Amino acid sequence: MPQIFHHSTNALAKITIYGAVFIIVAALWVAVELNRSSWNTGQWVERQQPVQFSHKHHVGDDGIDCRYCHTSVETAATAGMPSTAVCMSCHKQIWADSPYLEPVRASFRTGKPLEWIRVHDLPDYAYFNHSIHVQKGVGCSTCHGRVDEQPIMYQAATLQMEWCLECHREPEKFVRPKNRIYDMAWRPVNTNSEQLAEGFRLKAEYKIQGRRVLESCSTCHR
Amino acid sequence: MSRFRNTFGIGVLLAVVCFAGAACRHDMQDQPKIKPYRGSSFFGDGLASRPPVQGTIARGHLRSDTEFYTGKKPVSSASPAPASTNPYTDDVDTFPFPITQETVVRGRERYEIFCSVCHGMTGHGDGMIVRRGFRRAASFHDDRLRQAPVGHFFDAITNGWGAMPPYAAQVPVQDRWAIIAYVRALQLSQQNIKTQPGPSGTPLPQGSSQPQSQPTPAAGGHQE
Repeated sequence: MPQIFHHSTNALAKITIYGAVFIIVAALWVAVELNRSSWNTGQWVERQQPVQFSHKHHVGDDGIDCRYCHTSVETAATAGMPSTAVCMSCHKQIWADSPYLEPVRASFRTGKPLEWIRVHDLPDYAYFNHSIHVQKGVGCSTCHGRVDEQPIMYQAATLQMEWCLECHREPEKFVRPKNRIYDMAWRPVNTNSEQLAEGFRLKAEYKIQGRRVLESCSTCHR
Repeated sequence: MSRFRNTFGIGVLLAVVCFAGAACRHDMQDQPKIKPYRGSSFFGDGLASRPPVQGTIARGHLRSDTEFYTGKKPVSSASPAPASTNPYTDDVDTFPFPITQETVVRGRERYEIFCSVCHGMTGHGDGMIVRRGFRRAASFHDDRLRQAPVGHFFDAITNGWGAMPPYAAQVPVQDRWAIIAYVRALQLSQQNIKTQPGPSGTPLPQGSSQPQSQPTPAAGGHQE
């Protein structure tokens, strides 16, 4: 009886075995990378808003402090969105008849709030509080990036749990002095050891909790 | 042979499950609960956050201390002062609580957030928004505002003044007084040093306000 398979089939079988392993690993790698990509997380995606509001202009060019509009960032879970009246504080006189600002004036006339598109949308099972982060030395730009260089707001971080834990595990790498919290240009010190020394000092000064608390599930999932 | 095919098939299946699991359902991410600034189809105006009923006072927020919360003298004690010399007769002329260095430091921080945009870092009324075309803001170094009582500043911050909008929604009451303390310090810093030899090293406002010498029991219990 002749052989059913040709001799070369042996090689084919071996390639299939090793190939299968390779394909599985590659597929898993692609899955993990896609999961972290901006296609899934929304990172770097600019969100068009009902008004062409530019943080680059208001923060970068005009030098308005973050807290002028986001008034509750130091005291509440939410940083606070300004009411239309805050926009009109200046825009009743500046660019007062610009067609770009008609939605703002319409909102002011009718009392119907502007419906901004949320850029940083945490999942509802995650608890986040701005005030504690600000009080413990986490600056705006650590999470939101250079807002003063964003004409249209985008999400600067992945907002995934591994990203949160980066800092919750080692806050000393990220905390900064209290008077630089709202400083968009602040960067960790160049040499790693210097930032760590400063970070550990600030961590002690701010009484930042240890990993047992910061990594506890119920710190964020409550 | 078929065993290997099976392994391969399971691998592909696993990858597909990974994709599907990552991308499909968002029930837990987007729960049907009310969070700040979220809309709601339940109420006619589409707002999830409800405004308190008109006239509601939250516990511990009764504003019975007129001087602290309005910067005005209580009606009973408002003296019929000669209106020609002082246009701000009903405004208090002393701080309702003792001013410390912390108050002034806090006031400086708040001033630079909320006031400097128009009034400028030194209070000359030349802030960035004015340079962008807003009506020129008042200079704190004019005689009118040098002589104005602290209650007048409080009134202006709370209710607005001229082109200035009210800042009551953005600046809590305690911070408004802190800002005024810093404005007094700014005024002092821009005065002619020869005519005003203040005690060296004390940036605290002196003169008519005399905050140090008039401690009042009102200092406690004013947390917004």
